[in-house]
Amino acid sequence: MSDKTNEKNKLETLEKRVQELEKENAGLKATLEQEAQEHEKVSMDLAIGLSEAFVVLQKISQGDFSVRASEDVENELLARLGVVINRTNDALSAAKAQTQNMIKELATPVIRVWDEVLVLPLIGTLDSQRAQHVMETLLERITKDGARIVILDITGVPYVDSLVAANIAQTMEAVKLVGAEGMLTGIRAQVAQTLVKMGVKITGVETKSNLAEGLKEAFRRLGVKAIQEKQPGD
Amino acid sequence: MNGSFDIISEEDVLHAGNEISRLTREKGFSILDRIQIRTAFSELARNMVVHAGGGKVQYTLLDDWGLQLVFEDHGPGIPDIGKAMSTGFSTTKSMGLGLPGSKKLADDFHVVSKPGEGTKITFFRKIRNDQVNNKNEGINNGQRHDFSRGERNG
Amino acid sequence: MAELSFLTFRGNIIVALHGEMTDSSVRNFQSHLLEEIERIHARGLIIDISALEFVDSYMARVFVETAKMAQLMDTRTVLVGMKPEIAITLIQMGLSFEGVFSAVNLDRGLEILEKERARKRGRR
Repeated sequence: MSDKTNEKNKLETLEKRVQELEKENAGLKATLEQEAQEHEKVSMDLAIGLSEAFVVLQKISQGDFSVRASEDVENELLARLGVVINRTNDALSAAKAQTQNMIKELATPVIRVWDEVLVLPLIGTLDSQRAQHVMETLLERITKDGARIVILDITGVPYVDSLVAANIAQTMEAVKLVGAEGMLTGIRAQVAQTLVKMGVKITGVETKSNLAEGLKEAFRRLGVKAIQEKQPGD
Repeated sequence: MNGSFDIISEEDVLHAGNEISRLTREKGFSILDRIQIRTAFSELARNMVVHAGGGKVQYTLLDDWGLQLVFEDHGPGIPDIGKAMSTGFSTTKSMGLGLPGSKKLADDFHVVSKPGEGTKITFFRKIRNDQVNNKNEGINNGQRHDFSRGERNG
Repeated sequence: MAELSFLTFRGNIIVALHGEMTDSSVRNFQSHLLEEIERIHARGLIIDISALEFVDSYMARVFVETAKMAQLMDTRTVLVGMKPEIAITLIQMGLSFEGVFSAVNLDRGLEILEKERARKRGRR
């Protein structure tokens, strides 16, 4: 009898244990499902984040520095990737700006060839942005150096469009306004044609065939005499 | 950043112009940009005083973008905008360069005018690229990001 | 606007403009200047604009007009010290400064007036 009771008790304990295990199992299953879902979400986030990062990188590689990767995202890895991409972007765009500035400076070499005489030899094609920069650089040097005569030599400019032609004319007028005399030398055939055909007037500015003639004229105006003391080879 | 000025008198033109100069200086516009904005402001604000007895100027300044000025008055309006925009035309004694001249100083310029109702002129000037880039360099020089926090899990 | 003061130097009037000017102060400047030219029979006039923050079309017109009026009274005008940025702005707006002399500084301005005077004497 006691045996029977004992058996019953054991059975009850076992049943209870099974129930507990089932409960535990259900809990584990839920956790597993949740984790699987979370994993899926993370990998989705990663996939989306990475593809976004790729788009940004692609734009940067094409020279578009206006794009930004998102830094404020939940995924820490993606956030760090965003930060690194943006840093690289900043550094690249700064380097590009610096190079462009350097090219701009090199492209507008204002040279003081004599006391109060400046020469700016322009080489290559001009766009209106560069022409604008030429104007600003030249005028600044005139006021800083107190230049009297400014020679703009465009021998190295093969052709101009109407906008640039107008810009050259404006530059010569502005030179006069700040108080210097402008001279234009080395106008090529094609440039002369554009100037006349487009009706661009360059008023009150002396034009000379080449830089040497321009310099002679500058010396004449300043009362400077160059004397050749020896013949070459003497 | 934005705000507005009421322009009734010549003194208002000066006062508001000074404010605009101060703002553009603080935002890092180049000297040429500043002078050209100030000049256009003077032209367009004067037009309001002379032709419409005054008006209102609203400004919007956005980083890395530029400055927008909106001049609005309830004066007689401009009967022929095309004519007013051409160099040399003026209804008063001025040289008539205020409107076309300001347009030449703008990156974007709109005139809307209805006779008898008033005139609205929108002037926009970009902040130039090299200025924006200079500012980026400034950011790069500062320590902006904290990389240490990601390394704690090793 | 601050009071205008005219300096006289070897028969030339020298006037420096500062800060900002309203349209009416620009007009006042013009009439006072012309009266002063008449009063001292000035031979030359120098307007120093190096301290001006900007010059708009109205001011520019008054300068050109004043130079023309002075010319009628046998007085030559030189604008002195225009900032490069102001020059660019005025030219881009399409303003013309025909008949007005410009100089980078006061010395050069006086030099131009001397030269003009010598030229006039030579013509006689």
